[in-house]
Amino acid sequence: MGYRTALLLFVTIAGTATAQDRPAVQQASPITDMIQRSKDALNNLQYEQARNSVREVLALGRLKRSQEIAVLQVASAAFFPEEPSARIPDSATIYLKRLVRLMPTGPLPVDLSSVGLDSQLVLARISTFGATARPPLEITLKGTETRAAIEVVSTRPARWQLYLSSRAGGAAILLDTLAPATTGKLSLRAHDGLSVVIQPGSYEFRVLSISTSQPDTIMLRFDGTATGSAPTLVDLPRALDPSSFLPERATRAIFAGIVGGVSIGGLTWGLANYARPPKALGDEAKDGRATVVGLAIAAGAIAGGILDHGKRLPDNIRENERMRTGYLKQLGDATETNRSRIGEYKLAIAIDPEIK
Amino acid sequence: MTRTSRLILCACTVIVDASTLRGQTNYPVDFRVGVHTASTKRNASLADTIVGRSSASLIGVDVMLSSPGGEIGIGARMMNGSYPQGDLSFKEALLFIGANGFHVEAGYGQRSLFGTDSLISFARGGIRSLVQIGGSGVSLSFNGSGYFPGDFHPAKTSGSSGSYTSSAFLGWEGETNIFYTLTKVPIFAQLGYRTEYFKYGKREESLNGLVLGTGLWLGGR
Repeated sequence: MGYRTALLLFVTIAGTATAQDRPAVQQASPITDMIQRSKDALNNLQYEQARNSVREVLALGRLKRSQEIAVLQVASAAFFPEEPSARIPDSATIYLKRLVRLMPTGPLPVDLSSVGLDSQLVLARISTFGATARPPLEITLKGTETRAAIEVVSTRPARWQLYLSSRAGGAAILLDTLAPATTGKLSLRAHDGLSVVIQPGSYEFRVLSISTSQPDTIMLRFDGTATGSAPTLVDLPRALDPSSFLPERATRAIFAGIVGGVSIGGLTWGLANYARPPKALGDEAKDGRATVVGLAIAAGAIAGGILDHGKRLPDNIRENERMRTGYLKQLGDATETNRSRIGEYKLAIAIDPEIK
Repeated sequence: MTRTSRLILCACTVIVDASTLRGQTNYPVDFRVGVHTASTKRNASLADTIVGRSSASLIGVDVMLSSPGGEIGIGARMMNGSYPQGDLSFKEALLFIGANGFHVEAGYGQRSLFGTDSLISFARGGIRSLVQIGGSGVSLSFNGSGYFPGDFHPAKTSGSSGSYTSSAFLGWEGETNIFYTLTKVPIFAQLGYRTEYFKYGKREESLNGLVLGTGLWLGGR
């Protein structure tokens, strides 16, 4: 049995006995009692005893964050009491910096606070990166609404990221981010309109605070449970295959222009030169203008064929429009159904505010 | 507002309405109305002897109305002009069936002939072809037909020896055209060539000329 285990056992037994002696504080843990005793020693100006006591508590390890903050506050005060001759500034600074990482804002408890210690705390906050987050105990999300939920704060500007990791396994998903800031609120939403963001289940919420001024990152973890019933969405119709559309223009009429132009142009010339009246009238001079008109017709038709972009095909255009309209209607109906179901999706999230 | 102003306003309204409809829907009918002028040369002979050669401009009006596919349609045309040998008047109603590329047509009308004030009734039968060159707005047309007596009885015409013979065939005509219909408004321009031969009794005449025209054509593209 190791030293720490023996100490923890002793503390537990002692704490239990103490708890039995003091029914009014039945909720308190042995560690809390130890912290209280340290604080009592400090109030009785027994600095060395207080220091030893907090060392013992810190040596236990696996403290809750609130306990660690409480013991670091006592430790800071024990090493930087009001009595100047009893101060050990270097040691106090070490504990204050540890404290600042966990408690970037807020004052010391009134019974521990002093002008000197508060000044030291301010200095520690200037030089140390600390971050914390305050989630709500409960929050209800509905549909796709985004709700600012988790308040974050740090001593220096930091980029913030909120991840969600399911207890059931799988990769953590990124829920929200914040641009560099010392304060802000990370948001939650149950559904993004296409898929469920947070399924009902047990989760670990992870807030990552990444300092922008130094290579330092603090991760804050919370346990949470989401309850609700995820909506079942109808499948959206598959996108229309472009190849299923009918051509809306005929092929270019270059061939028709050339053939038509040559034929009708030639026919024009032929009318003047071969469709001759009989007998005397047929002996009259041929009309030379027909050649000019024939050439003009041929040139015009060929030019028309070359410049043609294809004749519009109204039946195909209507059919394509019908296909598009039908698809859009199906898509609209499915989207509306899904929007309605998503809108009715309610998710109640309970978060344990104790940072792990 | 004068009657002419009303007509112009009405025509403009039709054109604007038609241009608004274009691109959105097909016209329910194929309709063409146009005016044309033909710079013609007229040769006339009496008993196989040339009696006159003259030139004049004819002014004419064409109207055609058919189903969009051209399966069946009706039309009318008129031409008038003045030659030294006398005025020329031509008017005709016609019916055609077939498809846009090829029609069989039949017409019935009256025309004048040099040297007489009376009008000669005639029937006409032939073929007509209209081909659009894609969506370019260019269309080509050809028609060829024969003239027959309007009472459908053989008419006396001059024979090869100068004697009179009965004939059920009065003559023929042929015409080619190229049309261009504008993109924004259904207005067309027309260039063509026309030739015809007509005989009645001892009188014969041939007419050929260059045709220029314009008008409104719903369905010309």
